[in-house]
Amino acid sequence: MTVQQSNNLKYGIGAIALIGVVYLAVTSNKGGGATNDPIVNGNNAASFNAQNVANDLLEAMRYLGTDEEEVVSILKYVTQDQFGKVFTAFGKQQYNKTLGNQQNPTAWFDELPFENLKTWLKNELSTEEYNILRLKYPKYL
Amino acid sequence: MNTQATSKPSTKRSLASSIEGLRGIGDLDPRVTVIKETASVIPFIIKTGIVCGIGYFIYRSYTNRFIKFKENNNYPVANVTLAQAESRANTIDQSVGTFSGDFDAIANAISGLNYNGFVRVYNAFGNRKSTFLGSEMNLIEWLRDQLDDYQFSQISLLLNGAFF
Repeated sequence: MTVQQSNNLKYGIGAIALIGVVYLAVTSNKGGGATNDPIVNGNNAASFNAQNVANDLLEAMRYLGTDEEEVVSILKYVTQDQFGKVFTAFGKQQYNKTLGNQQNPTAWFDELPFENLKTWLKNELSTEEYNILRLKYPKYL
Repeated sequence: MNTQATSKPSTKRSLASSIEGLRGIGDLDPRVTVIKETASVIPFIIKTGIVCGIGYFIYRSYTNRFIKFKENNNYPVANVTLAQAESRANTIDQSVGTFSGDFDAIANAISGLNYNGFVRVYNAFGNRKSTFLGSEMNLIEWLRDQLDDYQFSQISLLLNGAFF
């Protein structure tokens, strides 16, 4: 084998080894978790607005006859961390627990109490529906 | 044989008195010929039916085979072990009662999973029958079959809409 052939062989082996190392580096990301998990972290961060979600929830619940399916639809892509922001944005809203809305027949006598989102959801949804939300947002419900 | 002669009723009667004669009439009667020709096709039809049936069975078995989801290495590792995933899959499978499914049990089995965790439960579930006579379905098909639209959307909510 000439010197030239020997050098070519070395360069060839070196190139193959380099390609192998690069390939392993790229493909060895086993469970690295670099990207957000779509279930845990969601993938709507860019479009998510806690105040808008809170307003939508209030709108779905404030009248007689809550649209439960709308509530589920509003919260479908909201993660637990995002729900925390929604919870804060919702704050406390006047609520008539008896009627399940914001009507106050005795406004001349006293004003409605202010309730947080947990109380609203618990009263407006069925036990089964509320339990589903509790499974998704155990920190807040 | 003279066909004009054999077509006469008297000649037919005399020919019919012997076996050879009956065969002669059979050979000449177009209705018998048609029946014979038709009968000769039956084995072909049966063989074709069997071959097509076997082919269809193989095709259905192939197209209905269970295809596993791959865990996504870009997402965090599954938050359930393979054994836990199997247990959750079994819980879902057993939640179907005689008259109605136990929705709470299904919801509990689905909740708290991350992306790769659901993949494990999905793979552990494989293809299963929802009812004794029902066809085999994967987990997502099974849930869609067993739950009404609203319940299905609630399960989707638990998964943050990641899979359906």
